[in-house]
Amino acid sequence: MVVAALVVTLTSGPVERELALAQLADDPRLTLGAPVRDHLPVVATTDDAAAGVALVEGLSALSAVARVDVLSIEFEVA
Amino acid sequence: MDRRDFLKSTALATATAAATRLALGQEPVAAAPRTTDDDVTWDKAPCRFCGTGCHVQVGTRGGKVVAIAGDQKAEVNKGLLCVKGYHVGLALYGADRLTRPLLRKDGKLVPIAWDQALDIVVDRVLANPAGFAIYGSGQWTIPEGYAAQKLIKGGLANNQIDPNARLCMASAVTGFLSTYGVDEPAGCYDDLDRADVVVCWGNNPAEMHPVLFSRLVDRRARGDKLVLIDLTTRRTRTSAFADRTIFFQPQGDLAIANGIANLLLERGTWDRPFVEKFCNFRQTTDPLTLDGRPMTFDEYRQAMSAYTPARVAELAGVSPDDLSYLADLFGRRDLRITSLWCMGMNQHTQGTAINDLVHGVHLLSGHFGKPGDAPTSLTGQPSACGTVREVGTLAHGLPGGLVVTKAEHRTEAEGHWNLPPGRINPKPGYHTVEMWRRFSTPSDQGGDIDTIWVQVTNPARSLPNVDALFYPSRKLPGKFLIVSDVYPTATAMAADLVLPSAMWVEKNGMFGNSERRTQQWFKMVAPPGEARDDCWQTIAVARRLHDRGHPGMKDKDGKFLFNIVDETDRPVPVWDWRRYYDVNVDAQLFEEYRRFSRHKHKDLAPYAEYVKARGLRWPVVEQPDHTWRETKFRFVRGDDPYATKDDVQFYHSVTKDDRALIWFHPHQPPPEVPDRDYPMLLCTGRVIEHWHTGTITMRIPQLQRAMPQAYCEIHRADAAALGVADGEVVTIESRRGRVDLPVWLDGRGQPPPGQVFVPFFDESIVINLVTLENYDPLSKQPDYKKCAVRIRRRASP
Repeated sequence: MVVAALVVTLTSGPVERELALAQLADDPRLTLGAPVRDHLPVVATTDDAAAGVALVEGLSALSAVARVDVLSIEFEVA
Repeated sequence: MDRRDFLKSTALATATAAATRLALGQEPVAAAPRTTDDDVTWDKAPCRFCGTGCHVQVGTRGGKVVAIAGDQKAEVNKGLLCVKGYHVGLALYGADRLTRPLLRKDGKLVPIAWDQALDIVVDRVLANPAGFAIYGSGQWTIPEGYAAQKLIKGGLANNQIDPNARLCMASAVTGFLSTYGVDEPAGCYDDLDRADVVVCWGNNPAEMHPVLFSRLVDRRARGDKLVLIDLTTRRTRTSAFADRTIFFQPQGDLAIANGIANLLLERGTWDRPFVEKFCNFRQTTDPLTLDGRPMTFDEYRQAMSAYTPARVAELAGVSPDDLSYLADLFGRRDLRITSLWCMGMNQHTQGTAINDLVHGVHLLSGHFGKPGDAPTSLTGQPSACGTVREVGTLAHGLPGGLVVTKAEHRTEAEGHWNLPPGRINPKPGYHTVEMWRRFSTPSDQGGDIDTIWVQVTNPARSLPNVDALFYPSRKLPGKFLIVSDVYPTATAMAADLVLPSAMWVEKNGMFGNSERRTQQWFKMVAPPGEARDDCWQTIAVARRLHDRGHPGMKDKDGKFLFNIVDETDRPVPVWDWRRYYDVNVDAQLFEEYRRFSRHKHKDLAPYAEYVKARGLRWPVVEQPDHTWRETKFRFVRGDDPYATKDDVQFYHSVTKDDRALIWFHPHQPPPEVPDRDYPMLLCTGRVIEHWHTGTITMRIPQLQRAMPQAYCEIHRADAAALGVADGEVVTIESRRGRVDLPVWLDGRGQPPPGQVFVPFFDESIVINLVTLENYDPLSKQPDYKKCAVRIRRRASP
């Protein structure tokens, strides 16, 4: 299991933004915090780091997402 | 609450704190928790990778690094990290760490004992002390570099030491020296928070310095008006964020800088009061020198007048409109302008000249000395500034900005090291390209370097034209290559002797980042197997030389060169690995080193101050209340304690009158231009996922998967002309060598027609077989950014 702290920075277009927020809220891997202006605190929980990387890449590709910052990642070393 | 919920709640607190800070530009009300689990121990360290100098919090449990977080208390990164940073903990755990010394026997590397390995090194030194060299790195910690420097300059006294930083920032050094008389940027990262305009000169910080770039993007997100200008030879990720992307032809940057200066002069928008008070003018001489030849303002204006917009368009491919736009910005006094650059300007056969000219544009326009107004070079390695530029581990350098060629500097260094007068050799050693050329030349044909000890770098992949500079040595009798490293790099695999090293938080360390910030960390976990600190390796070799009678290993009182003592001042035999951590060797070496730092006003604080801080920017000066104060803006009265005479004081002025130099340098063509046989220009560089030659990042599965191999970017029109499709493998060939690699069309970077870009991180695709070793005549830094190549579809096997 990997737990990562993210900040998702949203663009300011209201329609796309609402759509993106709904998509993020529907994703069971994500726990959303309270947005602070354009910045949304997010916790991503995935089975492994590779899935986490793929998830971050997927978030970055959403049209209403300007950028994704990864703040911390909890990983296990074999 | 179970473990998963606990981790999620602490992660959410971290993310909320960062979001608050990003949104509001302020510290969160409550600091993020430092622990995510009761049995994880956290401590601070600077990131192992680039020169930005982000601080991370390192979580350890059971003798392993198990978690990484951005350090909320760090001014540099304010809790953020890039994709490499948050995986830095995994750097220690590649499957193939070197854990035992290895000696080449009958063509194979076989394990040997440390005792034997050290004796072999010592045998090589004693067999020919003059022909023994150390090739180091901007990844050395400060104490590691200092120990190697002292061994070579103060002990063996042959000055044969040079670092890989010669390949990445030597032209920035000569640019600062020739302009201000002293090295390293006057400004700092705070300028990024205050600038109205940021000009990236051939620089792609969105990938190379992403955390710094995020400061710019975040300002915009908060509503700040910030103009970002991308001066570039190809479209990059930085271009995507730029307000204006201005493409120029490779080597056209000198013409652009001269063209801006010409328009400032022609329009009368230069800053006459600043220039008349704080600047002199200089022009190039033949042979070139850092002092140049004086010129009057009228001569300078006359020389610059040749760089009309039409001529700049011809030389650089920049439109008169774009040039006028740049000159308009620099001509405005109401704006604060920061220039950023890195390898694009430094890896350049005119590297010193373009550095001088960009400083000159800032000085001529008065965009200097106010927060946000700064010409700032960035570095690529975590301690290129701290260990190379400040410790002076270059062939001509001594610590603290002193040089071996000046008698008074040698005398001062001999005093600090308690050496007999005359010990330090006044003749500089060989710079990097020359060192390796001589190592790859037969001994009876002038190849007078016969042993090189490589520490913390990978010259078999990072030197230019490696088939000329590196590989011939591997077949020459009498040449012996020693490599200290953590992984079996290409260099290690070509070595005669391999010494396994500890890395990053497996040892104590100190780095110095791009903004004069000195950083410290403590050992947190043990290195694997028999891997040991590089600093210990150097001291252990020195001690064996001492024991076998080498006279240079004693000071003038007969004490060992590295006289490490306990609290009662009794020597501690730290050359014995079992005793190495009985005392803090780093702290003692640093306290000795920092005595050098006052000569050029690069004052460092006591070691203990760095233990408390997330780095301090020099000069760090003790205050009347015995606290230590860092300096953000150098040469500026009110912040720099040594600037006392006027608002700005260049107190190490080349002309000894507290003035900086504004230079004129003419445009010159690159050493190799496209022709019928080799019609395209190759530029090499980096990607965000990987660092240097990828020896660490390619062993981090997440980063390796994200960018698994090198590629070549070419323009779609060139691909069509060559008949190659996206992903197809092509051969890139120069007059020196060739490589096969896949094409990436319309990818992350997009060069214009006629140009090719290849990243150099992939050890399996050796692009430096293709590059050329021509270098800047002053800095001796090679040009990796332009050489003539041809591309063809790969022939069928």
